[in-house]
Amino acid sequence: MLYFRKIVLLSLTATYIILCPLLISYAFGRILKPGAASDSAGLIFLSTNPPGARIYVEGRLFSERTPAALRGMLPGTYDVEVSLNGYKPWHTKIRAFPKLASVFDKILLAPESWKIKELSAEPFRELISLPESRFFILNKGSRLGDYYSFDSKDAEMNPFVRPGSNLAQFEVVSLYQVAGSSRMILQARDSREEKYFLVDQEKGYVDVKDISRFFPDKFEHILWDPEIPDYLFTFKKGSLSRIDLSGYSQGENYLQGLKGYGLFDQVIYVLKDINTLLRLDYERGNQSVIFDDPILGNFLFGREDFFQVKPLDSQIIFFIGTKGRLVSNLAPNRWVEEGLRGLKFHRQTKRALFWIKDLAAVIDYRPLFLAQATAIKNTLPDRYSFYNKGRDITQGFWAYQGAYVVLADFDKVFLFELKDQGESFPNEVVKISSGSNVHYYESSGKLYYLAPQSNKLNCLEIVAGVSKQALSFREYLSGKNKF
Amino acid sequence: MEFNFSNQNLSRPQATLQRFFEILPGILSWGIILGVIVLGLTRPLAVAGLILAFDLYLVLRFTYMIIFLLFLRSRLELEAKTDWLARARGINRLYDYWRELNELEVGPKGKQDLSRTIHKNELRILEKSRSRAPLLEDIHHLIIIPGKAADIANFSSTVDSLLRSDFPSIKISVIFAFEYGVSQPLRLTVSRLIERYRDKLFEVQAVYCPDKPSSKYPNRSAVINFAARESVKYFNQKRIPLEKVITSYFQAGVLVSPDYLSCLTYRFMVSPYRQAACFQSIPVYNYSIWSDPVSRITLNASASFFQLIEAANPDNLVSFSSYSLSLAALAEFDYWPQDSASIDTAMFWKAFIYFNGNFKVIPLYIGYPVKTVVEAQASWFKELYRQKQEQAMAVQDFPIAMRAFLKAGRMPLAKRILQAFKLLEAQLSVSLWPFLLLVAGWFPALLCGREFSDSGTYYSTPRITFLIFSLMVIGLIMSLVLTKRVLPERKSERKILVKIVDWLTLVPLALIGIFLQSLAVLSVQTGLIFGRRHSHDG
Repeated sequence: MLYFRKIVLLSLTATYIILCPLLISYAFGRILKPGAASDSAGLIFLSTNPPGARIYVEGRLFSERTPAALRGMLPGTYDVEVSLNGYKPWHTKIRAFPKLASVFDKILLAPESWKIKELSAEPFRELISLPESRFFILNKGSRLGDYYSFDSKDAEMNPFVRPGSNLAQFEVVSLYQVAGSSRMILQARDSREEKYFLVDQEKGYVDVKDISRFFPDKFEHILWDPEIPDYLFTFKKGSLSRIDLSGYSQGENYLQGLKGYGLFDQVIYVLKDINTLLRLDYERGNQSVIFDDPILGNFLFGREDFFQVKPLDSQIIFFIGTKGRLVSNLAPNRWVEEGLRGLKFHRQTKRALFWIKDLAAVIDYRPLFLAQATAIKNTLPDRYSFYNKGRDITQGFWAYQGAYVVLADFDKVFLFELKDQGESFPNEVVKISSGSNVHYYESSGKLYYLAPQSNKLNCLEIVAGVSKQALSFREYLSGKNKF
Repeated sequence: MEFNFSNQNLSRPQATLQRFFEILPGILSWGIILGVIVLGLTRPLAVAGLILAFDLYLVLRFTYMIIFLLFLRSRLELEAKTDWLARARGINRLYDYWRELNELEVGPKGKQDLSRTIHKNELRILEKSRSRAPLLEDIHHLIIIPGKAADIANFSSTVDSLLRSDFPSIKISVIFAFEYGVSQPLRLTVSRLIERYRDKLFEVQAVYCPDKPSSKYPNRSAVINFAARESVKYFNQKRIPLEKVITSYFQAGVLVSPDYLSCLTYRFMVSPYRQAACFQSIPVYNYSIWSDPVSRITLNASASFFQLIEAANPDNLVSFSSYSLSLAALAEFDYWPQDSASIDTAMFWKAFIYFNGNFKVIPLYIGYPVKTVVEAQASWFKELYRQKQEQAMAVQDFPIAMRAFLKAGRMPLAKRILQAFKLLEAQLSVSLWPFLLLVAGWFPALLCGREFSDSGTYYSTPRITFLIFSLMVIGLIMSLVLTKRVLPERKSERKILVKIVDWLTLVPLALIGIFLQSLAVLSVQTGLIFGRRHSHDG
């Protein structure tokens, strides 16, 4: 009996000695794992645009306003709400991880009602966005004299040609543009001839230059590098030509036997036949093979005749077919079989936004890079559709440093907050003239559109100016060093 | 060790020590309570940690209690059909008895075999100790029944139960011990009572305490001490060795089961430490108390709960009401303490100190019914509190025992420290754990103000609260299990609904018992801080 009692007493004492620190550690966020160092509580960082919003965690008001770091959070999921007068409350579930910071430093608070500014007294027929450029084009008709360039930086509108100019009567047939470039090429004609014009908007006025002599023949596709805009690469019947505008030289048969091409980072990517993807510099030197695989080539490209090559970076390369097929060189290769309407990269975060008529989705390559860093094998990129009830999605823009997406869907513009996986709630921003384009310029955070019915140029600020922008976690750390 | 087990007539240093130890438990209890409140307001998270540590301790403590309570229950069931008198006879003829016991060891193993194995083990310990057990024929039982005039009706029921005992009544002596100033008509009634039992018992007498009740001393200890001294004189006159007189002190109205005295006799004979031991029976309800009103169930369960828990842990066991010991030992350590409010536990500590820590309480694995008188339904709560306060009186033994431990040079230091710690821990845990468990546990959740809201743990308090709540619920469930184990099974109604109702009934029982115990102990501790010594004369 005595021994039994001693054994029981010792067992319970030992249980207490072991359990007590474990229990208290667990309560205070330190979870002990066998064979691992003790994990402690995590941190949640919240930063909003505009700042100064109240923070509620599990319904309890946090003492500070945004930007703020909630330290010592026990691992687990918390209901977090951020609210500011005049703005819709933002709420989500945030998971705190041991010894990690869960950073939400790009919370864009949507106002209860967006402040719309009318920029023009007269109506326009069409708005043409120049992606990733501060310029966009407006026109009141199809003639060159009806075309205007709008500089969103200075809010200035300049006509393409002076009234009475002999170019004013040229009717615009085609407009070629490259994302990130303020230049564009117009194909226009009058009753007598067809011409190509280079339109440069960087000079403080719209410089329209006749470059027809560089184009003796029509081309199927044209590209230029925004960094070296004087090199124009035209594609026709499997051949690529390089035109040097500065040297006024015309390079024939630059490369032949091609099925597609693309430019990125001063390197030209060419798809030879359907088997080989090559990379070479603009002087056709430093050639390297990215892949040379008939099976993969056949699987990716099939019988389509031309593919735009769109590198996300030097490793991840997308191809867009003429029928709107979207494929990539890395598995899973085939993303859209037909009907792709647009593809935009957010290169800093290794993500691609694409949309078809009724669906918008993001391909996220971050898991791949995380896997490389942590030596995890066989990790594939995430693909998630954040919007699948579209009516007629025409445009998409990355907004607020890749945390949001602006989509133009038929007669509405929506703002989507991108969450990890899953559908996002479509936050309606504004109604627009049906089927018309919009222009969103990330640097100013402003959206330009033609108002429904009046067709006047309107503007609203989706992302508030720099002074109101959310403090990043890094800035917060360097400024306050609270973690 | 010679020690004045009293708080009166002390030298200046001893009086200072006495005051210090009187104040200590109260100061600690209130210090912890107020400390928890203040810390709860200023550092609720630290309190949360403390509460968690305490709750876990409590859960494990309950686990410990339940293990031994179950053991105790099993042991009582195991010994239910034991013929104690036969075993006691066997001790006097050990050689033949061993042979008989060994011959019996055939057939399927059952409860009786297990009981016999334990019995044989006890015999081996006796043999190994080389202590010579007294002859059964030489053993006398002295029953002291103190009482007031109002208790006279209960005397005969106790004596009648003694007469129903399987122990020869001719070896039983009964002393009715009355306080000072019993009226002449009552004395006449007592005489008639004595006459009624004179031929049936070895001796039956009534003694009347000559001392007037003092405000300093509780009257009961004076009465029973006088009775014990008179008994010593009597047995000395009769040339009966005091070592062979087992003295039992029962309250009037206690009903003794028929085999109680036999069991006591056996335990006395088989124990090598019989002259430095107290034999404590266990109050277990073996009749259906479910027919009683809830108030009475509460009272009865509450009465035996504490004692059962103590009995389940012999190492912590001290004497409480209805126990027995050798008259020689009683006389040797000079009877019950004169000025203790709780003479039962005080007697233990007095003996423990006198025998240099070698005084033991030996549990008797036999239950007897405790009679608790509740006259009016309305007074049950008051009665329950009175009962708890009576138990809380043991608090006053602490300073005396502590002084004794400081002086007890012949008692091993480790034993003194251990006992002192146990005493203090018992003092504090009884007074504090209901408060900590049911009130302070919520402080972190309730008092975490906005000023802490820049800490993530503020938002994690739901987890802390959940942990505290879970541990509290476990603790309460364990309290219920303990309380339930104290009560007998309902035999007539076995429906699930009835069982659920039974369990639900136990919730207030557990909570009331817990809180009243705490209040009573805190009240006594607080009184001691201000120099107010409590007394009762049961």
